[in-house]
Amino acid sequence: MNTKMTKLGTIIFWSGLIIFAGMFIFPFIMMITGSFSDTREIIPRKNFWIPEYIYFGNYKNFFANSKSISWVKNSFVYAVIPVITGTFINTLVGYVLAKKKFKGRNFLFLFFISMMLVPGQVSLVPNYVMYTTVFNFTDSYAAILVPGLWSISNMFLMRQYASTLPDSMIEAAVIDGSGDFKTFFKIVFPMLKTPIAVMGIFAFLAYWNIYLPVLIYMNDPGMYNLTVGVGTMVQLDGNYGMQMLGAVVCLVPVFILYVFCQRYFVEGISLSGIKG
Amino acid sequence: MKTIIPDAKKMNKTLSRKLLKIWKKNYMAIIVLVPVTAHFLVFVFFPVLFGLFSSFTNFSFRNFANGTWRFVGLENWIDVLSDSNFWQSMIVTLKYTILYVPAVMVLGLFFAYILSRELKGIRFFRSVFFLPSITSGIVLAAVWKYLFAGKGGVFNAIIEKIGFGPINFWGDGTTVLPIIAALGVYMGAGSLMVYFLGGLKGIPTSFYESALIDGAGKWRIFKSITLPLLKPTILYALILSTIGSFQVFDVINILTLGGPAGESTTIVYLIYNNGFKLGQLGYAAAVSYVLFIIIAIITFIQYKFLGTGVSYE
Repeated sequence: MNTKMTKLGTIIFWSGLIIFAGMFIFPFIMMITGSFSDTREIIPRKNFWIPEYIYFGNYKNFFANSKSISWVKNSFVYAVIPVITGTFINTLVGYVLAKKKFKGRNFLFLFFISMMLVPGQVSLVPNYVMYTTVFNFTDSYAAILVPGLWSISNMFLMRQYASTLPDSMIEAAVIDGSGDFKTFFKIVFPMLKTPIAVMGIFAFLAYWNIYLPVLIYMNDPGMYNLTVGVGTMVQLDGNYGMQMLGAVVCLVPVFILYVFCQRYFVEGISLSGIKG
Repeated sequence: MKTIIPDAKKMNKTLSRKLLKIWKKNYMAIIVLVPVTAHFLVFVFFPVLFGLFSSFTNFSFRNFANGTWRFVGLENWIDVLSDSNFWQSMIVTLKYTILYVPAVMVLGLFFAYILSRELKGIRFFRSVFFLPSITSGIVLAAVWKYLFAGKGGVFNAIIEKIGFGPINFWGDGTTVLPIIAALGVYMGAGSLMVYFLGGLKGIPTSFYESALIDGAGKWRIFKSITLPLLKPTILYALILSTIGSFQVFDVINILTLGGPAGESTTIVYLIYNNGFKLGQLGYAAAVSYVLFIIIAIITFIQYKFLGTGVSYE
């Protein structure tokens, strides 16, 4: 859609874009400058946009505190392990439901995806009752990792992809005497590289940002992740410098991932619709 | 007896041969799907049923563990529907939906439309508008709290510089919800933009070319070609945004704790507060099922409307 723009139109177009972009970047700039601000200085200072001097105390306090270090560690545990387990289980299940023929396959698939229609809030109370009594998941990584072993929506994505794979390649491997699992890991898995990357990135994002389950099941602040840790800081005290620093630490891994894997982010949105 | 035993043996043999054949053909499906289905039943399917069960009990923090709970029949459901807190949370949620959905849709579509031309440097702007969409809501809520802080927050510093008194953004029932909705729009516009960009790419350029030859203006082209062809994408995005607006929770728990005076207590915040802070788990289960019903109705409307797809051929 390349319609020609007039000169005035070009100026309005680009300056309008820059103003909008400035508005969108502004909160991030305030977050970064805030993280370098002394808490005693941040409120009454003269210029809101820059600190009077660059203050590293927040960084020192944050990384010297064993509690906040464990938040960083827990964030990685909660985010990385579901990516690993999900990569294998979602792809395997998606492949089996797409390519293997057996009785009841369609029923099982519909049974699985029908649960995507149920909002997550419905499971909050029953999960709490189950996890705190039968499973004893309180203050345990298991409260996040066991339910997060695989995900229906990502399995659905993988099934859609797997069903587009040509049968001839899979059959050729079977004729060569390769077993089902060997065929899967040697032939199918590499062909699904792109959707696996998209799924992995979105699973990482979802679990890096996980909030409510951690809030409900972790009583010990040492088991918090960054979102709950920083969130609690924001709820409880007025130390904006520390809060902005927490926000920066929580953002950095996602930002690095975004810079290097932007293609997959965009692809993921167009494939799976929009997040809430 | 003597004649039956060899027969049984024979049958056993054919049965095991049959089973072996089934196993050889299906062993991958069995190894993969049996544990996954078991996990699904325990961690996904059972909780949905057990949630309905819970809504008919007086579950609280202690009583379900030591067995002193009891059935209360429809009591929770009647409580919910006659509770002014529930109706207020419905009104707050609807207000949020009205503030959030049109704004995020228009902004997302606007960004997608102006960024759909392949100009030099345009990808940078796409990345900027998309950045808040991948940032954790908690991170942005922390920044929002700081920007709108009552005493010497960023915006109040500007307001005071111009010569006005500070505004108590978080303590005022009229400003709280629009500020939270603004955060929602800020976070959601980017993903809608990317989604609409995908939709715009799907419209063949020949449509625009013939319209240009006919001498149609830009607005005319947008109104008569782009919008109608984008209709399925727009409807789908509309429904997903609406469902999302009914589920807002994280940022509210950080920014306002549902306050002041319940002015930002949405349905999901009510579920969290009554269930996990006050310990009325049975009541919370009933509210979550009401939310389920509302979302099911929205989904039903979605399918009704999306039945009329658009083909580009």
